[in-house]
Amino acid sequence: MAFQPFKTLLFGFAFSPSLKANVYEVTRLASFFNSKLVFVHVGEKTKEKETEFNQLLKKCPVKPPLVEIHWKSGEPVRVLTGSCREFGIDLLLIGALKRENVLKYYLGSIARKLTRQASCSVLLMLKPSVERSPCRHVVVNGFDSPKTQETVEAAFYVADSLVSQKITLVEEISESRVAISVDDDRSLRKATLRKEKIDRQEKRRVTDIIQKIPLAQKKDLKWETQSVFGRRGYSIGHYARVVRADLLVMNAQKKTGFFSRFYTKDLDYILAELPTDVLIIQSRTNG
Amino acid sequence: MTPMTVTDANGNNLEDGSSIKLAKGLKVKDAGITLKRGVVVKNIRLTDNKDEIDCKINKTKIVLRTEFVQKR
Repeated sequence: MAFQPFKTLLFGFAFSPSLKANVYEVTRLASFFNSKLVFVHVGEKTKEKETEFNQLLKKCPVKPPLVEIHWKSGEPVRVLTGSCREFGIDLLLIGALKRENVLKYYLGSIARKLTRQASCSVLLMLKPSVERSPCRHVVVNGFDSPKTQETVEAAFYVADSLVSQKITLVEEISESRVAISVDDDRSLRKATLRKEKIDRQEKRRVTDIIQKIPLAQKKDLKWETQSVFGRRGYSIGHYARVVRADLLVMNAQKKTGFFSRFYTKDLDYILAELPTDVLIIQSRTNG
Repeated sequence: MTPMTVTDANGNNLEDGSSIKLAKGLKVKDAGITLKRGVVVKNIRLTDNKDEIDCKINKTKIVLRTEFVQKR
């Protein structure tokens, strides 16, 4: 059976000016993934709203295989995370702003709160559009983590489904692993050799991950690996921004609370300022 | 008037006579056929709509959406 990590998608919608772009974008994505699409509206249901939304859906040029619409009331984050569990959602689609302001960073916007609390994978869309914008380059993390294999597999699936041309696996090498004080020729040589050794080890590890991916998913894709030295989470976001990647795929991290905002790590760097669309893969096997 | 630009899934320009490859398996409802991913179609024709192209697959005239095709 073909590998399909995203069988059911959920999009929580509100009647905002970007509703049309959001709906067109998510129906297109559901169609590319051949997935069922669940729309959830949090708020009051009226006849006008229902008619307007149905008309908008009818106008969509691309139709997913199956569409469901649910109208719910309550606190948006709680309702949407509950809906993800209720409908067995594999991927939650959220429209997001590029940057959180200082207050929002500490209190959390709906999009960021959902990202931190959702039990499924999350796609943060920066610029949903009515017209399709090609997804040419996908960047995925190659962290040394048990979750990485699943994330890389999902990244290849997404890149293949969205007809991307290139995928780059970024392995981040922490500063502490290469921090050597260079005082003379001998220590310089030692530091260089150590860097090369770490680089070789990382490349071998990432290549092993790619070898486990079915050939059908990688044969049309050009893939490469890239080592970046720096703080985990921060450097991959910077790399994705520099190469103008269309999608960044990351491992999910454990659910975080308010106090974690003061101790920034991994994904928090990305969420503070989104470099591009970000797909966060929630591991089904490794929690 | 600026000429209409028709592009494939990756943003490459398509012209009359171009060859394309299907980027996704597609069900053609009225014809009752399913087109497999990777099928190559030669000699496409552009239409008035920049999101659609005309082509012939197994002697059946079909209109395809450009986001599901890839230029060869």
